[in-house]
Amino acid sequence: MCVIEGDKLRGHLETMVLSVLEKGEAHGLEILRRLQEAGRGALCLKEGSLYPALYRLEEAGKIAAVWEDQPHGRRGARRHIYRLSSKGKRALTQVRTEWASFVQVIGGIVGAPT
Amino acid sequence: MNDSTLIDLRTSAERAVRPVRAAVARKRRMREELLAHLTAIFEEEAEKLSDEQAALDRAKERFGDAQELSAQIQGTVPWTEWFTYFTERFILFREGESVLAHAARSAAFISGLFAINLLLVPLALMIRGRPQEIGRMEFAFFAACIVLSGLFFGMTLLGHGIREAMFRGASARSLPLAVVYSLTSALLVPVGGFIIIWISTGDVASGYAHFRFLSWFAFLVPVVLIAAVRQIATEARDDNEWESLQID
Repeated sequence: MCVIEGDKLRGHLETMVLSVLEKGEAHGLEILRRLQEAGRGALCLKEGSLYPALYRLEEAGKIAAVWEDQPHGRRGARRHIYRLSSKGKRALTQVRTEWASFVQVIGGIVGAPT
Repeated sequence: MNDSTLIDLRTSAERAVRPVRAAVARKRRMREELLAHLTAIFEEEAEKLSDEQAALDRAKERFGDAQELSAQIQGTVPWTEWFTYFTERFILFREGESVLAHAARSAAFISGLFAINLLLVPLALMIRGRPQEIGRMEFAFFAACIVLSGLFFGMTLLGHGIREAMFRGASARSLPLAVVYSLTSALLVPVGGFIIIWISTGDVASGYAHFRFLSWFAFLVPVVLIAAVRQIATEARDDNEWESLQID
């Protein structure tokens, strides 16, 4: 069941990508699999939308990408393998701290269970 | 996966990438990466559904709307790439145009760049308090502009010649022509250097000294030209395949 989709999801996509790349390098489809697994079916994302987020993160130097050596599948093209950079690791640490205080403050105001 | 499915998947990737205003290299990367993703999800769905058409529809649905994706991708292209984008659009060979027209556009591009310098040089000299040098410098820049435009015109023609003689279909290949074009290209840089120095200083001996100096490096010109033509010919084949897809 989709609980988080569209703009609500896109606003946090880059942070979530950094987080799943912390587990190790991955290509686009593997990143999506990790996101869906971590979201336990609540995240609904059109798969193409992942790539603008990856390109932005790469442009910002938070992730690095290399082409895989062999093309994927019998007729496929090559995939890019993404990994977290040291700048990305620092950004992730900072976002986690900000997120924790955001949840605490807003959660306290709206009376959400903690 | 049959050929028509592959074309369908390539078309889906191309719909998202073609409208993006970005450098050619960036668009090549996007095409290949998006196609790899589409192929992978198609294979996943084909295994689940055991129906190629249904798998194709499902893969496109999972991938999302191409127009929306295109707009999102455009937002990731840095503004600094706009110069590259417009330069490439101006100087790259366009399928169907004549070789002469392409050579003229290359020459016009160099003339344009020098024209900007022709405007900036007097300004710079005025600011530095050396207005007496304006006439001489403007003449030197103008001479360099004419000679370099000619060089680019010639190099573009020779590049097309080398492409025909070395990298086209086997029937069009010709080793003697490739050698003639390569030797001519080796001569262009020292001759161009001689003319620039001769015109701007009025001294033939000085022009000849530059000719002799540049001749040491002349052999590099055909090597670089052939390598560039080979790379461009390979990439152009791929680009033409993508651009021939009907995306409307």
